[in-house]
Amino acid sequence: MTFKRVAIFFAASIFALYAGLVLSLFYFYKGSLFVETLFSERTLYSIKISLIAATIATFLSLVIALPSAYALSRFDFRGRHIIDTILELPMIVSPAALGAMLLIFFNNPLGIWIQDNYAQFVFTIYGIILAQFVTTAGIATRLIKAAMDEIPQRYEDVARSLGVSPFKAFLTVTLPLCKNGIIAASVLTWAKAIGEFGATITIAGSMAMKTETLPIAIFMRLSTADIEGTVVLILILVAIGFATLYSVRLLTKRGVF
Amino acid sequence: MIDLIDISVQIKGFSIKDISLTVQTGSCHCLIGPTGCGKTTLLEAILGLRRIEKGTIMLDGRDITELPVHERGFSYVPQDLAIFPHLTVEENIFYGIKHSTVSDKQKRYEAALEIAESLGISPLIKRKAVNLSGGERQRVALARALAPGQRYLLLDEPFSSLHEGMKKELWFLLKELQKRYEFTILMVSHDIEETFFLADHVSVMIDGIIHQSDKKEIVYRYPSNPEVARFFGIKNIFNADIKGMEDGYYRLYCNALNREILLSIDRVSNISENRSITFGIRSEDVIILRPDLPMKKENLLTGIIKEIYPAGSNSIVVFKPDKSNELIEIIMPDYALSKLSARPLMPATVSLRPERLFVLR
Repeated sequence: MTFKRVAIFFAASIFALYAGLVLSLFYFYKGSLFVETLFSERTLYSIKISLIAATIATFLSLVIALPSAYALSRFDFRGRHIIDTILELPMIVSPAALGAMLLIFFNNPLGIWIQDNYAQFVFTIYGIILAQFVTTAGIATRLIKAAMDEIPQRYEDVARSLGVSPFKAFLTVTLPLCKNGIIAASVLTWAKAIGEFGATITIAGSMAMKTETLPIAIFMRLSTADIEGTVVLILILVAIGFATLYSVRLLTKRGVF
Repeated sequence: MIDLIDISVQIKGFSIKDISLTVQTGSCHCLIGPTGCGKTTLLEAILGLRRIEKGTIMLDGRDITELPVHERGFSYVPQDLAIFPHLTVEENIFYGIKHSTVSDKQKRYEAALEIAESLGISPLIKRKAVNLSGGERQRVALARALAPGQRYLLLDEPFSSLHEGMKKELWFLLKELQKRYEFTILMVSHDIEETFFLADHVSVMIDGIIHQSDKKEIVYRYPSNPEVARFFGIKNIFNADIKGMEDGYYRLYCNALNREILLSIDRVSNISENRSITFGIRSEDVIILRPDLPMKKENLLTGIIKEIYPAGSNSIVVFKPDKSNELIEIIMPDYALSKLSARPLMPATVSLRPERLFVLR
């Protein structure tokens, strides 16, 4: 067997693994239950809250990730390597631990003061957004930094020599050149946010019609041994995820962005 | 005029120290040196991309040492050209005018189109920059650098990736553009032919130090020290002791050649007798004498031709003088060599013309 075939075999194996898992859901699939579950008030609320929270968390992550990634990619400053390493915190500690850290923070004097004076995070939608943001900000920064590292700084140097300010050079040269990388990072950040479970349930709880995102709803159904309902919710989550990823890929291909 | 006063730059494991040089307005000044000697670092420091440890950079009498890159007034063409790949040729050329605070933009757009015309890239103007050939990219980079109207152009080996034909075409074009638009060029290169074609003034940099800075004719004819001479590929370098003066010549005794050598006094000044010096002569300045022609008596060496290496229109002849283990390299045009019917192991007489010898300090 040639190396090429071996490599393709492994690629196909990964596909088979995930496709097999999705297909196995249909063993417990009940068509009549699908429509009923999908259009139930509780499921629609879960979808709505999941989409809103993931989109806001992604937006916030990008707002902080773009300048951070640029700083880490372009400048040599004290503490750069420590910041670079700590970006991996969400990947090192489990999401549940990350949620627990948030919960502990909001039980500290500063956290209590923030909750008393600004917004309630524990057991609210703000908590969901915060949990998703904390989980994804580091990853978004890491992904965007990787995209920026691919763009030689020489472009900006030349732009500046032509009389253009550093910020304008960033906007007109670096940003358009790593546009595809930023889109890819946004999509992956959003996908990670919408599927986030551990940190969300730890800080926001699992209150129906309040903090029940789709992953939490799946967990709740499973914990009551409602396998058919669980299957329907998983399929909805998979469909939303794939539809979004596919749309972005299609739009990128057509040059919409 | 660009004035560098005692510039020192420190980067990881390397430094350039106390560089002082002047680039005259309207001239082309080439900074030449071997790879890794610090010439690009110096150029980047002048541009503002590298922090300088100490020293002052003056531009037309104005101290620009602390100014950011975009306020210095230098256009820059790096070695890789950095043509913006997401823009068209036109957008590349207009970039500096569109996004900077340059005044009278409409006039500049018109001037930029004229520059593009001069560079022969007008037909490409709507093309995506990624679809250009090497020579076209070079022209776009030059047009982009000149379009905003900066009077100073910093070039970092911009022609190094081109083949010989294209390179030479662009040399002529750059000369023409400089004549027409009267800008000043500070260029980094390691290409000796390119440097002596384009430059008015040459600075030779080796290991972070400027070893010689002068008009190109002087640097070419009289390298200042053995390091510079070796960088230019001059092989004929010898040590000698000064024995005295007579009839407009210094009398030197060269142990390596095992004989006395005469050196024109007007080539040297302030040299005391009984001092050791190093002297050299360019390979193309050594002449193999034709027996049928009258010859001057000074510095004639007899010996044999050891090897002949054809090198295009010239040949490199290796000559071994009698009573010496040294070898002398001679570069001669093929037509001259054929007139001599020269061949390996043939006895010959060569002349180290006293007026062509230079002293390396």
